[in-house]
Amino acid sequence: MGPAKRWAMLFAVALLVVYWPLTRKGEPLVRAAWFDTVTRALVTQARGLSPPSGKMWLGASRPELPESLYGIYELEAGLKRPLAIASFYRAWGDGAEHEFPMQVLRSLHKGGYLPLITWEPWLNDFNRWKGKVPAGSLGIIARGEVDDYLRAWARDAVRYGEPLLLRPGHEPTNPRYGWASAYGNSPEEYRVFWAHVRSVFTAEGARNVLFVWTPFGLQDEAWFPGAQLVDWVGIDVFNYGGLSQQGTWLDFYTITKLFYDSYRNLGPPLMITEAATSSVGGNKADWIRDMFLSLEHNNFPKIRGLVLFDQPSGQTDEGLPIDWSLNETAGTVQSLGARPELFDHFTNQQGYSL
Amino acid sequence: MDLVPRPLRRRDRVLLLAVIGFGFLGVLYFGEFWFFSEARRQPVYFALLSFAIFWGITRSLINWYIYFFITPLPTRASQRSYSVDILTTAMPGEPFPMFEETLAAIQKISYPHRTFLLDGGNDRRLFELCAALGVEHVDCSRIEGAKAGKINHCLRHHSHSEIVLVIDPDHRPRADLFDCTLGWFDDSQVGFVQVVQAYYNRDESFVADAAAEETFGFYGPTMMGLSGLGISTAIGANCIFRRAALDSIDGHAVHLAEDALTSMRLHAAGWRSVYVPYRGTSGLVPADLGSFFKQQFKWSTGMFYLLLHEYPKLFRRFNAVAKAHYLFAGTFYLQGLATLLTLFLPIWFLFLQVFAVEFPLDEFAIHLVPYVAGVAMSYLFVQRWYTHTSEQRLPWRSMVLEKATWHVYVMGLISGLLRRRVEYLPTPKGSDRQAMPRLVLPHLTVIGLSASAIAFALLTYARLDDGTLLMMFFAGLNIALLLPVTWIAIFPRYNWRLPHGAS
Repeated sequence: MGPAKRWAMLFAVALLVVYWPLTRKGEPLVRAAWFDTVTRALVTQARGLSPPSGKMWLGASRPELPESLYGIYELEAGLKRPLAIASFYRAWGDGAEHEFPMQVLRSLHKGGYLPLITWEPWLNDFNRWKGKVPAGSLGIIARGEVDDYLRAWARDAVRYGEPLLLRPGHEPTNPRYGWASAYGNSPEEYRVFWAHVRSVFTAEGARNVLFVWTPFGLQDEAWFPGAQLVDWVGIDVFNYGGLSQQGTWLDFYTITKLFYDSYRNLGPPLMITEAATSSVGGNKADWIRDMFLSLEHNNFPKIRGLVLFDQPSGQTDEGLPIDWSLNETAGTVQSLGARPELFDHFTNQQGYSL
Repeated sequence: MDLVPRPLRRRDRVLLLAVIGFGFLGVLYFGEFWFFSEARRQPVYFALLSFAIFWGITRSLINWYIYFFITPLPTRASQRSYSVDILTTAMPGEPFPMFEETLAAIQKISYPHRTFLLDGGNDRRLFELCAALGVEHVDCSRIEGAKAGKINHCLRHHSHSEIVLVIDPDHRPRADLFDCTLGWFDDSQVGFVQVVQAYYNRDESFVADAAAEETFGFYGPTMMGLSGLGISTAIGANCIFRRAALDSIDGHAVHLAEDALTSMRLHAAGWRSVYVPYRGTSGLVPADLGSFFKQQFKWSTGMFYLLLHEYPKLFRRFNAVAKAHYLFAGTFYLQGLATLLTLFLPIWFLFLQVFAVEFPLDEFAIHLVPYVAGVAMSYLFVQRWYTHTSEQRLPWRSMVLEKATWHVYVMGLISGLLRRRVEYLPTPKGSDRQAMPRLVLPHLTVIGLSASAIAFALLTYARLDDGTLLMMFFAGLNIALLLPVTWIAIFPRYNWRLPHGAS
């Protein structure tokens, strides 16, 4: 008759014995080989990605992101205009909320949006530093002490493979931020930090990631990592109005002109990565409308994108609450939506210019 | 073209082990991922979904275990001569021309034999047919116990041979049937010899083709493996028994699943059985959905009955292999329950927005692919032990039909559990060409609910995450799998390939 039953038992035991090394050793090897050959080859080269010439991208950040696209849809419906960029914020750390937001990015990509992630190197969310920002945090990063985290992001960015705007360590002279000068970080350390982060992404083959550098003050050139390492220069434009220290209402053109003149000759194209106004001491709807008019009149030809900071919760330097959202003043969005000519400059198309 | 399976050479065995080993490793790989990942959500749903998925995986493992023992036995002529009787039954209402053909074919068997027609209706025309062909007509109109009762009556009062062939009246034997099989009875431990059941009406309809396809693997690698384990089962339609074996268990069992119970009792009594992959008879397979469902209902009810009421009685007398085999055979039709879960859980999950698991879709696929590839490879590989070239093809028809029989299996389970008496009726041999939407009401319900669940998710979910996409995929797959059989139940003209009465 057939083979003896004990051969079947022996065969099953042999398979069990083989299973362990096969999955524990073999599977990582196969996955690594797949990543190195296939996944990396599928990454989109994003260098030079920009709006078609003469056009600008319009984007926004909203509190619903990244969990939901609802806020973006609502804004698009009000403006009667599709957005090109969806912007949200991620802090560094060990928890799940600090991981690379793969699903969100895939949803955004499916929706036709270019994601902009402001990536904040807070070290206090790593278990190692137990909730405290260590002094000289940029040096710690540059020495490679959180490279596992950086590499995980870089590899996930490769897996994502589609163009992505990444803004690590924005506003490096803003005293609120743990990577700023206030925490004992020097411009030299900042540049080394930037070069190190970028080198990890380059080494993993994340050609799809575009690095956005954003100054805080008007004299932050010393913190600029160099045109070779920066794809976009971002400008954050805020009018605190009556809540500012001087209590003066400043229009979009005035603020932007100062930044523009400081940074337009660095090399990379410019993008307004955050723009919002208070309603204290002036008219929010007018400020916003004038912003669009100013861009429409091509006052700043090197600025190729505008990302609205449509967030209700903000703070002044003195800790006073400030509502940056468009809807704080009723009718702001609707009046924009009623004037399509304000958007003639804007597109959600993507092209390449070298 | 008939295929004669050869004994396994070294190359066959190495390939077989490779295929089985690959599948087994695939099961471990998926099982580890499924049970030891962080992705579990709701424990009750997770348990239900696990049952539904791992039911099928367990069946694959059992199949691979059986395939390990594949032993194609050659046909064997006997060194000595046996007295042989052939018993076939007639019930009122069965078509007369069928008996003309079957009895003529039986009488053409070259080996010396006596033939008995056990006539439950005591039909005058059959009496005359028997007289003309030299068949002994036995009046069984007052015999209780359906087919098996008549057989036992005949064994007690008319037949006295050493070897008994029990054959259904729709099965036409080949003339060399006994020259190919009797040799196996020279081993005095062999209680019965089973041969292939082929079908001559496969081309009649989609259902006939698919129902036949469900048996290709069984009358091939499965039975050959069981034969290697010494536990091939008897099939009521065409089994050759040693009379002494039947006598040792007080005759053929009287039961809804009489053939399965007979082999259980014979194996419990210590008899061995042999399967010869030789296409000894050719019969009818249900060609319309109604008769197919009826047949499957009868079988599933019978198997659950056996599991619940007969298996415990015989348990202590079985050897280890028989214990395992009849447990697996008795639970075979639980797949109706597993299918029920795979049909309704996605609907439930999508409407209530609950999750049993939440895997990244790509990881789920990566871990499932080796198992699925193992199943596909073994399916294709063991086709070399099928007994006809026309059987070697992609078995999508039988998959679709089996999936669509879930409600019948569930009814069978309920009947078995409730001990509700189900009257024994022979499987109808005639064909029903009416539209029978009532047969597939559950399918229509499932299709409707699945489609609405997918639409519901698309329209109301804020974000389609991987768990949702997976459930939408399952719901869509269920629709696709149920659609063909549902369609032919409502539009029977798509079932039939030959005009009425052509086969």
